[in-house]
Amino acid sequence: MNLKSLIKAVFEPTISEDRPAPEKDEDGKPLDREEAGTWCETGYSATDEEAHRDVSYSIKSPLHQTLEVFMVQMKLFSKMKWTYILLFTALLIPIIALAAPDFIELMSTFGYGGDYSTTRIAGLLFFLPLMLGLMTSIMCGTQMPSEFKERTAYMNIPLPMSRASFFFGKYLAGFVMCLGIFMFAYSMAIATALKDYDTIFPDLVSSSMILTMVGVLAYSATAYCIGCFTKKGSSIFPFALMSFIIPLIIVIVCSQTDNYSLTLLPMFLGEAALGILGGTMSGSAGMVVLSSMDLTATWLMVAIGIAWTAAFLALGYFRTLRREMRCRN
Amino acid sequence: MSKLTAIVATMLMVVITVVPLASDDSDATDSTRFSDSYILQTTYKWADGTVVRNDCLYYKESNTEAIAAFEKCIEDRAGTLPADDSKTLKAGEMVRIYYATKSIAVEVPITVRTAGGTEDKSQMFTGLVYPYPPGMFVKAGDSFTIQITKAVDNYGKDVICYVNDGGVIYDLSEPYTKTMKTTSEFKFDTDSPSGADGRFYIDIEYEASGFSVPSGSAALFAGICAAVTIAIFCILAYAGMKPKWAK
Repeated sequence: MNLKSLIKAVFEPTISEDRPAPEKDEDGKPLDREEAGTWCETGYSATDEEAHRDVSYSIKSPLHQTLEVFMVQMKLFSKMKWTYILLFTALLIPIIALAAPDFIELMSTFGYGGDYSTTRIAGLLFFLPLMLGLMTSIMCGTQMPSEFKERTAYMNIPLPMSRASFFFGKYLAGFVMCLGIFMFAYSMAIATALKDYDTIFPDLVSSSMILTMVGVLAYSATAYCIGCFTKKGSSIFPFALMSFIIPLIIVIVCSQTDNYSLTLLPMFLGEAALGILGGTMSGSAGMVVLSSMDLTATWLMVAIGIAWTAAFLALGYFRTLRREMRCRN
Repeated sequence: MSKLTAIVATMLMVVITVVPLASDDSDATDSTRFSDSYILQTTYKWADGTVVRNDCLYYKESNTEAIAAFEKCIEDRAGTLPADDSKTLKAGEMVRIYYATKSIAVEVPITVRTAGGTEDKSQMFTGLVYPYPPGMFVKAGDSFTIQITKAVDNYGKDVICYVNDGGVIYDLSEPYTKTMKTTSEFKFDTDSPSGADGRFYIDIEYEASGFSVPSGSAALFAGICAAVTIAIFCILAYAGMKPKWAK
């Protein structure tokens, strides 16, 4: 089986069928149309195979349903202007670094590290924690509410498709899109740092990327879940909640108690991703605790982030499952 | 398809996991040169008289060889500063004056002694080189140890190196150990120069362990990130082209 057919098998799987063997005469030859068909009187004839008789159809697998929803949502993203605006934002990294080196030099006086390749990468990703909240809110915060607002949910959900596939397919698309944008930002930052450095700390960059991935996972799950509970949906509320309100409360609590354990929560995954690279500054509310974070516990942060994601997805799914599909007009 | 996905995912994970093994930590006994000062410069038409302050370096503008050697030494942190022309300056000559200071926003004093007395010709300088303190990259979780066995400035004076750890001062002439909670560059402070003396550089010898040097390929990681991005945007483009999924 070649690659093309493999890909086709996933996106366009054949409908499963339980077809009996064609009827045959005494000599073992298939019966002709007149004998097998039931439309002799009208003049129309068809074999069992042509008429799809005795073929039992079943709904597609949950994985295929999820992929179908995923592709529908990806198509919607391909039409969304925000997708390209956010991509352009990542593209600004090399543009600013190459076109305005004085700006980078100026930033270095405010704690932008540049002595090592990884600290340079951290400096180029200065706004990563902030963008983590903004991008996931834009991509995932309004997905579910817009389905109901635009009434497309009333067409999609009655399809032979489980609500789980509908819910997780849409989330998966939002997560993958955000991941793509952040991977683009990383590739731009590393490529820009290549101008001055040939070598990096691979383990630190890997850890940073994993923390960012889990951050995308947790932030998008939170925004998606909040969207499931709102009628109109908002890109601003999940952003404000995850990037400002909760981090600021945690910062106050940590500074009052002198215990920084709460910085293990997913709201600080962006800061941790920069901190593990040696970054001392970030353009976010969590910047003030960056130097106090315990970055030896990154795997614990990853575990908490995954648990946070699972909890919010379960909550959002529970809400979607219980959602009534009546139009109240 | 599941097999292909599994193979691709496994290969990707192997690359991401194995590549870090290429990085190695470094333990070393070494020496380095650094500057804890801003190096400022100005040009000045020399008045009649002699140099009073000896904390600047004076090179005649015509002495391009010495100027080039000085600037190369400062930039490369290598070599020996060339002797200046402060003893042979004549009235009317254009002079390049270099000054090292811990604060960039200072008016550098140029004091000239003439027959009529001491004259102050102070003026603002422009920055040439920013401080380049020594740094050792220490990863979170690593235990870093350092002892500075020798620290001497370009005037041959001993320099005291210390680190301020949460308000407690540690003299680095004794072994100092710290387990890092964050990934950061370990930097230390130096005592202030005596009087108004600037220091053009400080040579140190140290014994350190637990720091790391980068050894992985940046191009490889840029490639991995680009490949993931391209794969995702291929799916986006495919979804956008396929009318079947259109609403």
